[in-house]
Parts: sequence; structure tokens; C-alpha cells
Amino acid sequence: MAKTFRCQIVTPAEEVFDGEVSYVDLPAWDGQMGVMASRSAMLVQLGCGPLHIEAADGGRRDYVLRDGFAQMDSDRLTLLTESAEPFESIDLAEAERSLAEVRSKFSAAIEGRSDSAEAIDTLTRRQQFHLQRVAAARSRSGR
Amino acid sequence: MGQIRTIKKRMVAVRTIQRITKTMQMIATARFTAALQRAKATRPYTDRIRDLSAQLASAAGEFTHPLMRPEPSGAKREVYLVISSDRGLCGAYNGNVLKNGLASIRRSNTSGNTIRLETAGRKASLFFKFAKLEVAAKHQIGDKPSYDAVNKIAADYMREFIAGECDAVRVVYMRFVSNSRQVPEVMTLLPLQPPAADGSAKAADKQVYEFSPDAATLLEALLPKTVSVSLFQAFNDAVVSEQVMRMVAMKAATDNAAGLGRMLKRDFNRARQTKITTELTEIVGGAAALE
Repeated sequence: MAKTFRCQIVTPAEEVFDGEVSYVDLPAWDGQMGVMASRSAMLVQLGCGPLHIEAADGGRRDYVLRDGFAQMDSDRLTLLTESAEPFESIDLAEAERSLAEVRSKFSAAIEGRSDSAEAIDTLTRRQQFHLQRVAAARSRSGR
Repeated sequence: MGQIRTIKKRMVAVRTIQRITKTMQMIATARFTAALQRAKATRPYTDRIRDLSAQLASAAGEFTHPLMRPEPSGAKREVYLVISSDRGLCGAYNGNVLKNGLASIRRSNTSGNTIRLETAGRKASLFFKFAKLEVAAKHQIGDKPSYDAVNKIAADYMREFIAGECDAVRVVYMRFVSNSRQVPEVMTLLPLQPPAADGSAKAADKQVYEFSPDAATLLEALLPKTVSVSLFQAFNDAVVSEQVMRMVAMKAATDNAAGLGRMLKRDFNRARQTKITTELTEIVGGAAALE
């Protein structure tokens, strides 16, 4: 049995998860990152992407995160994020629709060339987020 | 005769009003519990964000950010956001907030500042229309503030502030201290107060953090969040305060109606008794006259 540590996911609306876990795979700003117990203290910016948790009781949980911060401090991992959606609550059709919407906005912005670089940057990030949601919904239906 | 009927009418009216206020009190209680629950659910996030920025500030050392640009000493361009409720019948809630807001705006006006006024809630819009002040934007947040909606408002303010279109953003709202205490407050949202570096230097020494990206970049990403979080907290406080004040106001109204009802009942009984006595005397008087 691997050593466990406490993991908490907090969003502005609620505390999504709080429990003992053995492994967490989190979407850092520069790529996925694995965390196990006894990791040295760290503070990492999060990007948009999937979060996989292996709970101490062997259960698995998956969420899609949108931006935020992860803090590991004396075997206590806190994830502060704007939103954490469990894979199973994402509706594939709805996710695909939102993705298409953002995509069309994005291409309009690129062609129009009227939007600022900042706006395009935001759209890129939103597009990435919706892409992750679709991927998450697909992986669930495929399982 | 006429007096009895008038009293009866008033009794019915008072009883009807009492029923209404009683219902409103119960609704407000239910809403208050729900709002408090929601406000409490956001607490961990807001507290954590503040903790983090304090920790980072002590790690990053000297640090400046466009959001922390100090207010100019001369004439300023200020944005005032006044948060009120959509509905009335909540005691002194709107009155206190709006009075406080108006006083603050007037003060600022006399010192030569240019003010742009924005409101959230119907009561504020109506009030400023009456006060003949121009409202630049009316936000609709409603009874259940969502983080995304508030975030959008905060993002707009931050953009304007960084672009130099305004020098300060202030939020007028009712701060929820406890169930029995709510204070109208003018909060300075922007410029951002530099996060107080973690006072306990020992704690910072103990934990050596690994930052990714570096502390300064992290802080830069975190600061806009603290602004959004503060505004979100203000909206949540406003909703909770509104409900608790409506609850108290409606309880007072119900109690008052009950008291009034008792008094009317007494008057009614007395009037009825007077009438009976008068009639009796008349009958007795009439019988005596016949003898």
C-alpha cells in the first residue's frame, strides 16, 4: 500500500473533493505533473486539463480543471481552480457544441484581425479548455 | 355602531398584513440559510487565495504590478459600483447602503474627482435616478451571484484600470459581520492593496517552496484572482445581508401587527360592550317610562 496524503480541490463555488489519496496527476501550466506523498513543498500554476486522482481506497476520480494553482505543503495538496468538472458530468454533445462555438469565434477573430493579441490569447485558452472537456467526455463514453 | 364596523375592518386588514409579513419572514429565513450556505462554500477558496498571495509576496520580495498602481494625489477618475437589492421590504438595507454610497460619492465629487457610477440591483438604479445621478452601467447579478458573472465585471474593471482609464474602483455594499450586525462599507477594489507579506517569518523559513513558474510570475497570475475574489465576496455578503435584514424587518412587522391586532381587539370588545350597555339602558329606560 502506497503512502497516502490529503488532497483538496477548492473552487469559488464549493469544495469539490477532500480526501486521502495515493497519487495525483495534475495539469500544470507546462504539462501534466504527477504528485505522490512526501513530495517537497511546491507552488505550481495550473493550466486547463485533466486531473486524475487515485484515492486511498483504490477508487479513481477524474476532473477537468480550468486554471488555478496547486500547493503542496507537508503532505497536503490543495488545488485552487476556477472550475473542476467530474468527467462523468460532462455531456459530450454539449461539450462538442461549446467547442464548435469557441472555434468559430476563434477563426472569426483570426480572420478579422481586429481583436487584440490578448483577446486571441484568451480564445486560444478557452478553446483548449473545451477541447479537454470533449476529450474527457469521449474517454468516458469509450470506457 | 359605525365605530364597531371600522374597527372590524381594520382588524381584518391587520391580520391579512400579518399573514403576508409572516410568510415573507419565513421565505427570507429559508433564503438566508441558503445564501449563507453559498457564502460559506466560497470561503475556503477566498481564504486560500489570500493566504497564497501573502506567502508569495513574502517570497517574491519587492514587487510591483499594474493593478497596484497607487492613486494619483490630484483629481481622480473613480468608478463606483453600488450593490443593492432588487426588491424592497428589507428594512434599512437599501437605505443604509445607498445613503452611505451617496455620501461617499458626494465627498469624492467635491474634491474634484470624476465619477462613473455603476449599480447592481434595481433599488440602486431607481435611487440614483431619483438623485439625478447618471448611472453608466446596470449589472444584473441577482440573488445567487455566480463566480463567472462577477469575474467578468472584475475583469472589465481590471482592464480599464491597467489601460489607465480609471484610477480607482470602489464598491459600496453591505458587509455581513454576523447575524445581528451588518455594516455598509465602501471597499476599494482597485488599486489593489499590496498583499501583506506573511508576518510569521519563521513559517516562511521552515518551508522552502518550489515555484513553477517563479514566484513573481505566479504572483502576477494570482493578483487578478484576488480582485475577482474580493468582488465575489462583496456580492455574496450583500445577498446574505439583504436576506438577514429582510428576515429581521419582517419579524418586527409581524410582531407589530400582532400587537396592533391585540389593541384593536380590545377596542372592539369595549365598543361592543358599550353598545350592549347603551341598548340595555335604553330598554330599561323605555320600560320605566311605560310604568
